[in-house]
Amino acid sequence: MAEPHLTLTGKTATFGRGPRLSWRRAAAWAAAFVVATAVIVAGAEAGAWFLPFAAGVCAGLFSRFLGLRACLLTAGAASLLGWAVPLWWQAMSGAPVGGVARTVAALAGLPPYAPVTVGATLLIAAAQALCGLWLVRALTPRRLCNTPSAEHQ
Amino acid sequence: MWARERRAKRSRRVRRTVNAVVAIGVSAALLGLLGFGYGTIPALGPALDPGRGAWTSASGGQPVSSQTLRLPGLTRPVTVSFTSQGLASINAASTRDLFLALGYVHAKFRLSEMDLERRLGEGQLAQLGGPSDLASDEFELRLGLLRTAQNEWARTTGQARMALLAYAQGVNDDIAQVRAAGDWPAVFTLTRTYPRPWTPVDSLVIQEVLTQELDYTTEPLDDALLERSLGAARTMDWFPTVAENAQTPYDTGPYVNAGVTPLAPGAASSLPAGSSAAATAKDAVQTAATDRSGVSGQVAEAAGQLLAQLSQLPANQIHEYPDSNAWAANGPAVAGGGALLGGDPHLPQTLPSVWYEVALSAPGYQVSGVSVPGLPGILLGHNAHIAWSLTNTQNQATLYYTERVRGDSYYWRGSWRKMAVERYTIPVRGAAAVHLTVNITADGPIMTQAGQTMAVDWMGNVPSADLGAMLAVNKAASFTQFRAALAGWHAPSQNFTYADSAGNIGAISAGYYPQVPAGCQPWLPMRGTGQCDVTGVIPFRAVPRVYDPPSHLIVTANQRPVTAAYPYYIGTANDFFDPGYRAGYAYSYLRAHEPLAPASIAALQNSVTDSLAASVVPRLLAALRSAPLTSAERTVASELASWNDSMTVGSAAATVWWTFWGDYVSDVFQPWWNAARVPVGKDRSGLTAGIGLVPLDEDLQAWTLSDPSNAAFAGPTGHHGPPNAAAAMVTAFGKAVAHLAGVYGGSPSSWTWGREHSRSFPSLTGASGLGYGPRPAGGDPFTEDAADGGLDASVGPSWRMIVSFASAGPSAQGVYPGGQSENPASPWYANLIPLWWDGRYLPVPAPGSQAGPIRWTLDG
Repeated sequence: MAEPHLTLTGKTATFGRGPRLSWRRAAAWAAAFVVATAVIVAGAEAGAWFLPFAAGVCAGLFSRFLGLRACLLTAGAASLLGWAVPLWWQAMSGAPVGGVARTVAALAGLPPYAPVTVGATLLIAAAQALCGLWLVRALTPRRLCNTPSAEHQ
Repeated sequence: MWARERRAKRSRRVRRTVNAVVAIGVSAALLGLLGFGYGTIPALGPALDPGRGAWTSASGGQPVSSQTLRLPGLTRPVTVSFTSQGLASINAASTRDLFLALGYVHAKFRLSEMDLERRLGEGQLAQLGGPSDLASDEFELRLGLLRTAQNEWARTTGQARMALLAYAQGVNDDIAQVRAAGDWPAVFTLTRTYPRPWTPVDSLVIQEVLTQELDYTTEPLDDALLERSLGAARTMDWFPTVAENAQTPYDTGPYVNAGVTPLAPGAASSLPAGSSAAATAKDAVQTAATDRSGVSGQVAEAAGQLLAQLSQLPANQIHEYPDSNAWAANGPAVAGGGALLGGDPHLPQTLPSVWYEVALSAPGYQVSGVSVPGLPGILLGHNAHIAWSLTNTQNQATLYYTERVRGDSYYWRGSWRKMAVERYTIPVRGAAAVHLTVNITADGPIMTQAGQTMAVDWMGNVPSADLGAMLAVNKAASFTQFRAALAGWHAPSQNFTYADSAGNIGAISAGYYPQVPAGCQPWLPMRGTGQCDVTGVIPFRAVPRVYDPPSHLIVTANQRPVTAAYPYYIGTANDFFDPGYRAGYAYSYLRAHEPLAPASIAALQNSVTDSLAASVVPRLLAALRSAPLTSAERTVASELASWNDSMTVGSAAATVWWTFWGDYVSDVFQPWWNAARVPVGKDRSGLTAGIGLVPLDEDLQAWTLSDPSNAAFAGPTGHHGPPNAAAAMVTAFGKAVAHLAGVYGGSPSSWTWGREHSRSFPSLTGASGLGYGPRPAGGDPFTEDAADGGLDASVGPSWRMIVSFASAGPSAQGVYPGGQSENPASPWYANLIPLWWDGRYLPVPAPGSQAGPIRWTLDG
């Protein structure tokens, strides 16, 4: 079954519900999630800040075959986690991540609270992923959606 | 049917197309914004990238631990040790290695501050901060701090040259390490504007910035507007050369009239060789006591335009507040004998601080105290033999000239000459670069051409070997060596207060005191046609000084250092020597507490007694006794009667006093201001008839105490003001009580000073969230623990130091409000503020010692 979903242009679209998950399929999704997260973490360390967007693009492509919800969740969560892990790692190493977050917020003229900057950072990662996914789905031929696996019949 | 399907299909296609277009647009906008930023919004993608962005500055905020670091350029290993509070001690095998390590340590803890300060001086702030900083950049490039620093570097030789080169290499070693690791301070990653390599010129620019903040003044511009509106006679009367009230100069003479020393040829402020002989400033003082020429409307317009231009500058970029203390005592005045020195320079209190506390040790160079990030050496401190502290001399070092200009030429000494031209391009963050052309005459750079072309001749623009002088002071072992070293110190003029291990004390007000020919009026803009050019400066042997005075006490607190008998012009009361309240109180306190110990000095440094109140409140109470008062006024009067003149946080009488004094000054002078239409809007801090205008405080105190029927009380014709001081005080008192009752209500005892007055330590970045305060605080601009800059004070004691030579060697303690690290995430960012606030001190690390348990080994 598919459930109705509104796009930004107001069109009602089918929001594919994934097929019943087998353990193999779950493992495959988990592996994809871990790989995506690892790539985004590595990219962040290398200064490739746009990898969450790339993850969204990949998710958008795969969503034509594997279903939107699962791809969206995978890309979004991998992006969030991919940017959260380096922060968590720094904090665990004793670096004053909260202090830096307050500093950055203050320098930006925002209230000097750590959640402001942490939230903005994670929001940027998530927004990139969503945008990438949306872009690909808006540009790829809709015919792909009519394949059996895309409609999850 | 088919038509409906076709319509539906077309509609779907349109929606799909719109969706695709919007998706492309939003994606492009998002990626563009994240990747490149927009306007002053930084590129948030790289800026907040958790692996490489601003987050990496967290490493600089981690507690410092012992480690070995590689430092290219060192010839032998250097050790740097830290106390648990962050105070540093550097031990090296040579002075070159020492200065290299100091540069490295400064950059490690203050790279953003150093880069901001050099950008300020070099006119590159807008590249970081955007269009709002453009006014500052244009001003600095016009004035020419960078040009002066380049001139100075070309003339720098000897130890100063070696020190600057080694220091720059140390800074660059840190920049290279930071670049390799990618852990830049947050301000760089957010703006994606990274510091370029450090050069000796950058250090000299920072020295120039400090000079400007202490030495560049606008009084001739203010005086021009005052004279234009109030008239020459009244301006002369109320803004005299020597203040109306009692003063306590530290050098009471006898004085030497030694002519003038010409400035070096080719210097910005100098005349060409063969210029006419100088008149002594005694002539100038006499001229000041007679009359002043009128100020033309064009000059007034130019002055107003330049003041408006200067009002766009960040706070405290030019000199505004005179608030430093330095005291020395010896012999019978000191418990156990020997010499004792206390010093607390009052500067803008920022986070990070202008100071970095450090002990430096290398063969032949052992010194400890506070350094300025960006500069090698110690500015205030001690070595094994001597200790010294600085207060600002406050003499006039800024002269303005109106120029006759035709095209690209100016008229000077009987002929038209081409102006020198400098062209600059100012990069502006988020906007197009701005091109600036600076024209320079023999009198200095042209600062404005509104109404009248005006140039400025500022002593800070004269290249001088001040750093070499300071490094020589660092090594001096006697007053003779100290004095010899200071012969090379030129700007800013400073009162160097001294004590030594042999029990001697002294003070020398070293620096340039520009002199102009008799008949010229340096307190106003002068004609730039050559007749009033600077003829030279007071020779070093004739500058104010004292050595082992019979009183065994020396107090320098920005008061006029000499009496009216001094044979040179050094500036008027408006230029702007302290009113002398702190100096007077310090002398009386120190005399009353002999024999003195370090604790006596500490108590005085933290004193919030207002000596102006001590002199005026008894007169106020006497006036109130014979006046009809309301019951509220009687209650307030009784609060004042039992007050000890101390501006403490919990004192309600302090609030009443301060409000009363402000109303009193305003009530007496504002009617005159209104009648004369003084253009206060041109320069609120320099023209408002209120507490901030020091000569008016001095006048009113003097009239209240010894000329209570002065005609000024009655006001201008038709005003019908109070006939005398007593009546004016009663009126002002009533106004103050009514005002405070309206603001605070309730019982007068609840009008505590802490509700009215606070201190803040703002962040140098301007980010309000990174500052400290506002926190209710005691003090006012007239107390030893001065609080200046308004009711939320941000200028005050930037460093408190006490050095005692009572025992075998020097014993030093000090504290400054801030911390050694500029990183707000560091435990050393603001950790010293609580100590400073409570009036506590820490031992200053001794040179050559292991400061504390944390140790870096730096190895080439």
